[in-house]
Order: sequence, then C-alpha cells, then structure tokens
Amino acid sequence: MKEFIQEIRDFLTPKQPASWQTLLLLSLFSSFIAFFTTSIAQNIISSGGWIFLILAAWWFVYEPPIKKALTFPGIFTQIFIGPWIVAALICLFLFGSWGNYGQLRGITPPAFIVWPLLSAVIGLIPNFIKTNGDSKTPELTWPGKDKRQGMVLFLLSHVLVACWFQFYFLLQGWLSVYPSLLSDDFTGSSFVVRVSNFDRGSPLGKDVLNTAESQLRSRIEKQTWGEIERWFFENKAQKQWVNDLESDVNKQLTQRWRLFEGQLWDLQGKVTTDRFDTGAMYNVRLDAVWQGPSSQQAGYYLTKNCEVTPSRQFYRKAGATLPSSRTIGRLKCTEVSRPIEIKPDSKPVGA
Amino acid sequence: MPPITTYTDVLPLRAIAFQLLFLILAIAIEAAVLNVRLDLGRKVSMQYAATINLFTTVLGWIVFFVVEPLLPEPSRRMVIEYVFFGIKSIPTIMIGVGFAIFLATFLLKLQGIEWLELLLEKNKVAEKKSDEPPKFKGRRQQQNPVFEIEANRPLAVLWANAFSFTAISIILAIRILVPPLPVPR
Repeated sequence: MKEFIQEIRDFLTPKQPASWQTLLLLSLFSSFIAFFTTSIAQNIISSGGWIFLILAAWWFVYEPPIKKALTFPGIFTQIFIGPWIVAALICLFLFGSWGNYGQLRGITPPAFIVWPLLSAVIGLIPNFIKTNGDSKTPELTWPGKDKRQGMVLFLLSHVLVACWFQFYFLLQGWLSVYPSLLSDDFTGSSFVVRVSNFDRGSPLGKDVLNTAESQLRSRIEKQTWGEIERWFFENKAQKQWVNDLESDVNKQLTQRWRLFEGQLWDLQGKVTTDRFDTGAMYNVRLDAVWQGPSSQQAGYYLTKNCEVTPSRQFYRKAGATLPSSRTIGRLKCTEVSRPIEIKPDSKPVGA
Repeated sequence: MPPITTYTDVLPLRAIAFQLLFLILAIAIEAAVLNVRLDLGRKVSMQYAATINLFTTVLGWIVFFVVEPLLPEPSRRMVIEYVFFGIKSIPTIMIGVGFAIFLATFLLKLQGIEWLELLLEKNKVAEKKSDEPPKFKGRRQQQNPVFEIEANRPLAVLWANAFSFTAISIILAIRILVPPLPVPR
C-alpha cells in the first residue's frame, strides 16, 4: 500500500514547473477549495478547476509515451483517441448539469453532437502551429500542402460520426412521439437494432382499451337494466356510440399522454346479443387499431371482449323492513390481447 | 417535435454498418474508375474518391436532418416505417428521389473535386496546360484543346458515380428481395 501511494506521488509530482502535473494539482486544489465555498464563488472556482483539468488532460495525452499508448491501428490510418478524451471533458464541462457533490445529473444531446466536431478541431490544431526557430515560441501557420488532404479526410470523418449521433437522437425523438413503435419488432430494419432484451411492453392501444372499458362501465353502472337494454337495442346497428366513446377516451388520454400518437389509434366497437341466449346478455367487443408504422404488412390491432350481464342488487329503503331489489347491468371484460396482425381472416370489427 | 425525454436501447448500428460498407465499396470503385480515366495515380485517386464520398455522405445527412422536420406527417410516418421496419413497398416517388440523389451527388462530387484541388492548390498545373498557346500542339489536339482536358473529368466522375450507385443498388435490391434468414430467438 505504501509503495502504491509512493508511486502515485511520484506520478503526480511535477518534473518541472511547467508540466501537466502542475495543472492537475491546480485542478485538484480548485475542486478542494470549491468544496468549502458556496454558490457564485463555487461556480467560478470549480470552472477554474475544470479548465485546469482539461488543460492537464490535453497536455497529458500529447506526452509521447501516452500518445503512443492511445494510438490504435485503424483501417486506413492510425487512430489517436487523445482528442476524443479532451473533447469529452470539454463537453462534460460545457453541457453537463451537475448536482451536489459533483454528481452528474444529465447530458444534453448537443454534447454528443459537439463531441466529435470538437475532437476533430483539437486533433487538427497541431497542424496550425509551428515552432518559431529563433525565439522557440509557437506561432500560427497555415498547414503545409501535403498535410491538407489528410486533414480534410480527418475532419469529414469526424463530421460523419457527429451525423450518426444526431441520427440516434432523431430516432429517440421519433420514439418519444410514437412510443408504440417500441413494442414492435425491429428485425426487418436496415437501420436500427435493439441491443438489450427487455420486455417489449404493450403498445399504448392497451391504455385506449382500458380507458374505453372504464368509460363504458361508468356509463352502464349508472343505469338500470331496462335502460341498458334499450340503449343497446337502439345503438346496436349504429356507430355513433363508438365515436362518442372514442372522443371521450381521447379527451381523457391526451391529458395524460401529451403525445401525437393518440390520433393513430382507431377505436372500433361492436355489440352483439349473446349467441347462446343465456339470459339477456350482450357482448361488447372493443378493438384498438394501430394506423401508424408497424412491422406487419397491414398493421395490427388489440382487442378486448366484454360481456354485460344483469345483476340483482338489493338495497334498503328508509323505514322499510324488507330489502327492495333492482336489476342493474354489470360489465365484465377480458384483459387486452397481445397485438394481432390484420389478415383477411382476422380483422378488427367494423373494418 | 417535443423534446427528447427518453434514451432507449434502440441504436442505429445497422445504419452505421451499412454506411461504412457502402462508403468503402463506393470509394474502392470510384478510385478505380478515376485512376483509369483521369490518370491521377493510385494514391491520389484513392484520396479523391474518399474525400468526395465522405463529402457527399455528410451533406446528404445534413440535408436529411434539415428536410425531416419539414416533411408532412404522413411522409414522415413513411420514413419512420422504412427506418424501423424495413421497406415494404417502393412508391413511385422513391424512384424519382433516387434519380435526384444520383444527379445531386454527381454534381456535388464534381464540385467537391474542384474545391479539393483549390484547397490543395493543385489546379495551377491544369490551368497552365490550358493556357498554353495552341500553336505548338499537333493538329489533333488543336481541334478542341479545352474540351479535351475539361470534358473528361465530368465524364469520369459520372462513370464513377454510376458504377458506385449500381453496386449499392444491387446490394440494396438483394437486401429487399432476398428474404432474411430465420434467426432463432
């Protein structure tokens, strides 16, 4: 342990006043001081700490043995990842939002897009600097003609990487507008893959159907059985009740979703009298049809089957000795089905 | 478009793999064509091909990022379906778009070489050649000296572009027409 600490000390002790170790120690010192200060002073001092850290890292990665260790053979050329490290630090400093005790809260998408561009710039800077022979000081220069071709390729390839990052964020934007895409299957894609194997979850059509169920229940359970039967009788052949239900569902869901996806879910419904005629029962089938992009040729739908049964309810009138009874309707529904592909033999109702 | 609220594990890795494949393929083919038709030397034609292809690819991405928010919702949904679930049908407009992309990349590549030579300060040699008085040249060259030098570069770039587009189209056609191997899950 002692040797280990000694090694770290040797590593961090500046060999000369102007070295990366000095900057790193300055950075550590700044963060140490920033720990004891508050608000504005802390911001200024910790920014100073960041800048020292970035400069130290910049210096460090260009030390000859380090540069050699960080250079990897690429397909066409050697790839030196030093600029990427420095650019990552700069992006963390500029775009990271920090909580207490240096806890990283989040990184914004621009950070990732700036990262490759910044590392390209950092990687190209040495080409613009030459040492003045007389005074031994660096000075600005135009890169030599033989270097320019390589520089153009270097810059363009880094911009291409930035485009890929941007494309990733474009995909995330699409997925947050159409979340039901996430529950679909991406194996046919030429662009994206899913890297982990989480449960794919259900499309939001599940929420549509469950909301429709609770809307229907609140409607039915207010009425007596006689009213329910009349309502079914009048509305069986019509579509109007489905449209009313759909607009109610949309009203309730848009508050919760705040998404564009809602209008792509088409609610369909059909009332049938029970075929087995066991008492006066009605079957209600509700389908949520997805009209957005999907992996199936003709799209898919989710379905929910409900049955309405009469049920005798007892209640006691004030002052009466015998309980009175009335018949009300009861709605019983199945769980929402898994997505069903639309085919000629499995179509949603009303389609 | 609302702000991005989720980071998912859906990564565009296939897009990157295909892009690299197409880039390497196009660079190899175009370098060969430029080398044969323009007599630039192997290394230089390789560098030129790499530069113009990276240049057009990057510009293509930028155009896509600019155009995408402007698309009407149905068209965007079509793009989304294509990106996430593969192509199911080829609408006629795609053929027009493909041809427009071909023309645009051809013009951009031609212009890209021009700009590259400007940057490398190389085109002085070419100018000198065309500035030479036609007097001292043979009868054949005298007929159309400007045409000889100027015309074969666009033609070479056009050929290069046509070859690389053909190769990429063949791969895309295989990708669309051949059913994918069943992957055990």
